[in-house]
Amino acid sequence: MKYQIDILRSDKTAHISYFQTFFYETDDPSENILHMLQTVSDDPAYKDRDGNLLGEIGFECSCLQKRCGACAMRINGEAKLACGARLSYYKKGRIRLEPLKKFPVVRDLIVDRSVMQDSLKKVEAFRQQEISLPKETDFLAQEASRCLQCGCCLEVCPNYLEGESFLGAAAMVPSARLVLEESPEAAEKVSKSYRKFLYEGCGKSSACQDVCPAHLPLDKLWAHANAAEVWHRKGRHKKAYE
Amino acid sequence: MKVNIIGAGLAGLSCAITLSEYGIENRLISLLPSERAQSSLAEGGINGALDTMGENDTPQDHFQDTMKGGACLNDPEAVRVLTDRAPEILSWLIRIGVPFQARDRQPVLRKFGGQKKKRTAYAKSSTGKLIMSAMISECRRWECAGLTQRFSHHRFVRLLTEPITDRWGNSAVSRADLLKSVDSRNANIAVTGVRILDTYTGSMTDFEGPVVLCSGGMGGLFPGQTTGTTLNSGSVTATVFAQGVRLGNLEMIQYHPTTMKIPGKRCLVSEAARGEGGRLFIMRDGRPWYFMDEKYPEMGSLMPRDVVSREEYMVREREDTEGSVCLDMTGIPKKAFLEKLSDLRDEIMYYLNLDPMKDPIPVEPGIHYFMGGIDVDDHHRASLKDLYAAGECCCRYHGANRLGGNSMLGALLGGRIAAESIAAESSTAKTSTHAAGQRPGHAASQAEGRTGARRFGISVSISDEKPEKLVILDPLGKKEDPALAEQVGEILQKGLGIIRDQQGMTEAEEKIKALIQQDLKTGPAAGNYEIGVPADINLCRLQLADAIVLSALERRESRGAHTRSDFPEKSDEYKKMTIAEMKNGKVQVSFRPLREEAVKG
Ligand SMILES: Cc1cc2nc3c(=O)[nH]c(=O)nc-3n(C[C@H](O)[C@H](O)[C@H](O)COP(=O)(O)OP(=O)(O)OC[C@H]3O[C@@H](n4cnc5c(N)ncnc54)[C@H](O)[C@@H]3O)c2cc1C
Ligand code: SF4
Ligand code: SF4
Ligand code: FES
Repeated sequence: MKYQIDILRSDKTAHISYFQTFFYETDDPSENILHMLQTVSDDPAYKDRDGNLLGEIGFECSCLQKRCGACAMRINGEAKLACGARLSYYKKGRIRLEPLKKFPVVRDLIVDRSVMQDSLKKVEAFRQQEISLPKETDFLAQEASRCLQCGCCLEVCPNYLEGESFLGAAAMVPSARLVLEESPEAAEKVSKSYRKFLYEGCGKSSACQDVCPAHLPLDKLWAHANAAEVWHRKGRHKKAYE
Repeated sequence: MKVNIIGAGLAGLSCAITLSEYGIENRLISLLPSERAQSSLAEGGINGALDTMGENDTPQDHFQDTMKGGACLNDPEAVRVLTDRAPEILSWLIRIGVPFQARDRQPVLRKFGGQKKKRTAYAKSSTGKLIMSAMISECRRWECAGLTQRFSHHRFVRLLTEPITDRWGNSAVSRADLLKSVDSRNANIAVTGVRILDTYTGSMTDFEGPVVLCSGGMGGLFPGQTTGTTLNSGSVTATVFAQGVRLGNLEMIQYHPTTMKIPGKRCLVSEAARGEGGRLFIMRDGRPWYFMDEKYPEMGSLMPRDVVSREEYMVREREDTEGSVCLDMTGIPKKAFLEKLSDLRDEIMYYLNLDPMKDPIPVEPGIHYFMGGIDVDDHHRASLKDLYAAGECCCRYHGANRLGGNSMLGALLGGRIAAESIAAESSTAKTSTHAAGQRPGHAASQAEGRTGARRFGISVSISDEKPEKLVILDPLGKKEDPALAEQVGEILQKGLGIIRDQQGMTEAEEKIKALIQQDLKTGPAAGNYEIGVPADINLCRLQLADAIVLSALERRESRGAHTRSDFPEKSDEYKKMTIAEMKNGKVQVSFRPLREEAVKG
């Protein structure tokens, strides 16, 4: 099948951005958008619809198997991991690729997501005290540790905007874990920032959960953390660590 | 003094955290943030004789399994330290919050290939990801305290070096001698810093200070054929090799017995699948033949990886078998499957459209790990002064074949030892908070962080560094040519398969030599090639490829991951390490004897 790909190309230093269209043919039902980008970008002779050379396309990737979060982008308007998006899913054969919109664009599909690292520093998402293992495997902690820091949740969140006080789901995940696991004294600090930068800004619309490519149980995580934090309710969860 | 760490996977993070605990400032430089490092892909688990399963496991057992798994090519002193310190590393991981699978507050351990006892701590089959999350969070403490500074989206360009001068400040050797010395006695060269390139802006910066390479394995020499990430291009190892750094055991490349082909790479089916009871078979006379169980009744499909991959290759070559080798996980109890392997099951269902709880899945061996790499000593020092290496980029613990679960351990330990050696040599280092069993408390802002740190006995020395130097142009800043990389990958894969021979390897060597000649004529370094001062990343990579093939050719025996049809037996004569070095612009391979075994008891 032949796919028409429209890709938003931009170069910050040259202050230009434009849509470029090219065609890509494959019959492999497992072919994904990231591998397609690798293939055309590595081919110095690949041409666009108008006969111009495509040249190297800017995009980030690493694992190629949905485990590292590098390749998040907008595919037909939806925030997704390109390596987890198969071309065959797009039955109409037209695919539009754009960089995530909530982050500054570096080049083509690359955006600068360092604000996510900054947010985690701002809420001081690190442990104040050492812990020991709970009585039984802590599946919720395992889930929360799987966050890819890909940024898809920030992209769809109605309440998140870079520079404003609410820091979004990506910062909430590690903080929620701390709220749940630290002892009351140690949790004091993270509790304060959890409330201020996270809980109070979140409209609980769950858009983040729907988009999360790692399928993190965000609703459940918020529910537990909020119960512990806001209503000082000791969840089953917290008890496991005492 | 600030220490420059290249790579932010497990080894890099471990080094940064330990340096910070000693109060030594460090820069954590990586192509992409830590979440994207190959360490995040590690699945099955990490080893340590914690003995929580009532099997009387000890570091000595761990030592013996590791030596045996490595076909006794490992340095016994190194393995001794690895296995003795493993319980300390695992306990530390638990304390910083890695949510391992647990029962009664103890980690549950599983069995991995080549192990006689259950020794592998795990978290489903996402162990690497969960360890990385906890390490990233631990590192953040030190970022907030101003001790660790991150440079994500930066690429390593080259080491900055200078000749070691005598005590009157004169160069110890003349320029002409120096060029020779890069090749012969590179102890005359000191690393003074590192040049990096900001991939977002294209600008280059020189940083002073010792350098710790934590840049991962050489998967990028085999594009599309490994289980790893695209970040580990092999270019760091290639560059430092051209700059005179010594490498070891390059021929030891691990093929993992269970992988599946997916677009752009091979996807690992974790050893945990076999650890929990998965068995390999192939169809023979219309019936499944469980060849591993038949040949190795004790360990079955859980033999070390080199053995399993080789057996898979051999049963497929037979005339009476048909189809591919399959992994049969249908015998694993449902509860264990859902609790311990649900993520692996999701992955298999997504890529193969098969449910491993119901159907056997086809698997193939694929390139997975590099036992060889930068040669380091007991202190993780490489062959140039003030250069260190840790993690998969270095050659230290795994001999001729790495056991599953030992590599994350080696990366964590290596990063820590490199930092400890730097601290021991540094005048500004304070007693580590870690060693003293203390941790700095709240570290809000940089300033507060510093007082906080001081309260716990660390004083942070803010170095009066010269301002960073911006570099205008360095030809090494260019990325490798993907078409050439692809071509070299095919040559290497063909010559260095699971079973090798003189003819195949000689052909590969000739092809690579021809590519080198061509590059010398037409590449960016054409005409003004200066030994020891690389100017062309493609040439560096070709020289590294050459070194791998030459190392394999020189080892005229079969041992661990290196199996030769023309020399099928293990030979005591070759119980030594292959050493590859650049001499007068050419790759040279020699051997170094192992240290005598210091086996306790
Ligand atoms: C799929 C898979 C499963 C595995 N499972 C296990 C397991 O269960 N147990 C186990 O013990 N081991 C396992 N391993 C092996 C283990 O994950 C690695 O050996 C280990 O994590 C290596 O850590 P590292 O810190 O040395 O390197 P990596 O984690 O690979 O990090 C390398 C770092 O270097 C950086 N880098 C690379 N090149 C450059 C450059 N040019 N410039 C700047 N930075 C650069 C990267 O950005 C990255 O930050 C597995 C490996 C794979 C691929
Ligand atoms: S919560 Fe999900 S969407 Fe958000 S950064 Fe983490 S993995 Fe990505
Ligand atoms: S629940 Fe809604 S408001 Fe809250 S983080 Fe998720 S998307 Fe944003
Ligand atoms: S490349 Fe890692 S998630 Fe897509």
